Amino acid sequence: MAQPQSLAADSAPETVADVLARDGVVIVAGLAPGRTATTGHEIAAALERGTPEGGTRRLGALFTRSATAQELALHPLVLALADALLLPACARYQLNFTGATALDPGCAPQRVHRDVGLYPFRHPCPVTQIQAVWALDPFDDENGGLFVAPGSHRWDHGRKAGENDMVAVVMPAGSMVVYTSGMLHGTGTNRSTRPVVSVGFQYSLGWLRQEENQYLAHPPEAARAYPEALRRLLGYDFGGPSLGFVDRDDPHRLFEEPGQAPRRSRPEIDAAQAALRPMAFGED
Amino acid sequence: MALSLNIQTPDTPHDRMAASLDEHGYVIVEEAAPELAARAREELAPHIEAAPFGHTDFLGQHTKRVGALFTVSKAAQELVLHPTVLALCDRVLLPHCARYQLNFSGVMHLEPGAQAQVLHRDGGLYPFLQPSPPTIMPTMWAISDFTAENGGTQVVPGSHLWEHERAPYEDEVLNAEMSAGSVLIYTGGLYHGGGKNRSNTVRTGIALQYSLGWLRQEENQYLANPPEVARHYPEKLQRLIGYDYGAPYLGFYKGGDPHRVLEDGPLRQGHRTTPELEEDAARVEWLRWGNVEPVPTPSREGNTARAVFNSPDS
Repeated sequence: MAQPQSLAADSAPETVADVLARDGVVIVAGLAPGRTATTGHEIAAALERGTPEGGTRRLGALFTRSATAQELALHPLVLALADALLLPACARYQLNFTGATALDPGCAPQRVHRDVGLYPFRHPCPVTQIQAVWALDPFDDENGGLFVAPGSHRWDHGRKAGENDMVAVVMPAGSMVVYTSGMLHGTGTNRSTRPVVSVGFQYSLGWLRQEENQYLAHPPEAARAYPEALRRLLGYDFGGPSLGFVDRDDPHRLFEEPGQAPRRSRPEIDAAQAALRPMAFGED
Repeated sequence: MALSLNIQTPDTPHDRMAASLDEHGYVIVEEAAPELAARAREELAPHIEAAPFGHTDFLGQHTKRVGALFTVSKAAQELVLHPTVLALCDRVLLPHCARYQLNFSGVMHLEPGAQAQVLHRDGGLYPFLQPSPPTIMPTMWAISDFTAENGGTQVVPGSHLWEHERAPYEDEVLNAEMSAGSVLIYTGGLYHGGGKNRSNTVRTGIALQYSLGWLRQEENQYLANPPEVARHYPEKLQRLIGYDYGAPYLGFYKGGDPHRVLEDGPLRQGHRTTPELEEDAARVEWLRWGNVEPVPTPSREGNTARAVFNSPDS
């Protein structure tokens, strides 16, 4: 089975996006080793306290715990990939999920699944989410950081992955792997002697409900301290014309000077929505 | 062909109401909650008084809107949980989601001189070609009388089944005429819009919309009803506005049921799904979206990796 393609950190965003669209998965080696290391330090104590489930410790609401994680979520290459993969089907994309994962030695493997399975669409369908996983430790076959089934993003709904279809994502610390919502994947068993830690950010079409409720995970009083681009990405923005308003107004107005005329949309949101091609839903 | 309104009495069996909603795209339940509507009108009067007029043609220069209704009206909290409406939500929305949710709450108050709103489909929030399975089930409670003269909601019967591009002709439009306490229930695919108020009285309605629990809400309920406010609502309302999962794994807070954020005491250990939720999700049919063709599936032997989501039998 083919290994996921690994590209250099200085690859053109268009090149990375093309591979992701074609293969459903792409590795960018050594993209931000300094920032992943710093993120690791910032979340270490909280992750240490995490209650293990099946030998895996998880941590959500990452931006409340790590300023560097904010930078990773806004990395220009990731946003370029989200632009390319998600904007064909939404006026605005949003953060769907933030999470750190520590696989302890001997942990149980995660069940193989597709992230699009949150939503009742038959597979294959247009891309609904992309997931970026940053390796804080190296990923390899032995420590089970992540397995994917290359090609499964184009498989028919009922087709299952065989054991031989699953290949390990192998990458050094500081690398990023991105996969689309149709890619069958799961973390593996950690057969090494030390934990493998990663942080993940998932981006989704702005008209879908978020997997991790970002308004509760990052309430206004916390989000106020974030950069505007991050607040908007979290969902303090319209997801389409009129979609997601509060108090008859743009949800980002929570952070702006009072006294401005309320708005149920913005011209650039209207334009992005008008450029979408609605697709049939519900056909056999 | 003379059109007449699809009006049902409150004692009509819910299955029959749902069938007529499916056929016409809307149903009016006459006198469903007159006392509650009167209370809502009283509670909301000062808020309507204080509300500004709309600033665009779509929002109406003679139309006032009040949002986040549950923060200001106990009667609105009861209207949104009205058993007849929820029985229809069960029938219209639950085939396509494990949990439905509130999409929108708002007063639509038309003063004399209000112009007709452009006809539109509420389902247009989502980029699906029409017709599609229902994504939203909007309701409009009359808390004043609705007449053809005062801007009773315009509806286009049957338009929920039309092709995407088909536009209504003028003689296909009806005004939902109904007395205060009645409710107009329709689907996200129905062409409709606020009417023109040619009378010298006001027309006041409460719009409460319900949607599939996996869609983003039009009115952000977590910001409209933040935890410190929602904490005082009945649990059923808390869950309906979104302090609940929308499906297995969908909408969690700190790894579990978002309702925990409203509960007293230290945060309970969370679970990202529950057996009940899995059971509710299992009866939702996977529907095709878009026209992505799969690659041919080869015939083969061997062990399959454990898979969820895409294989209900595993």
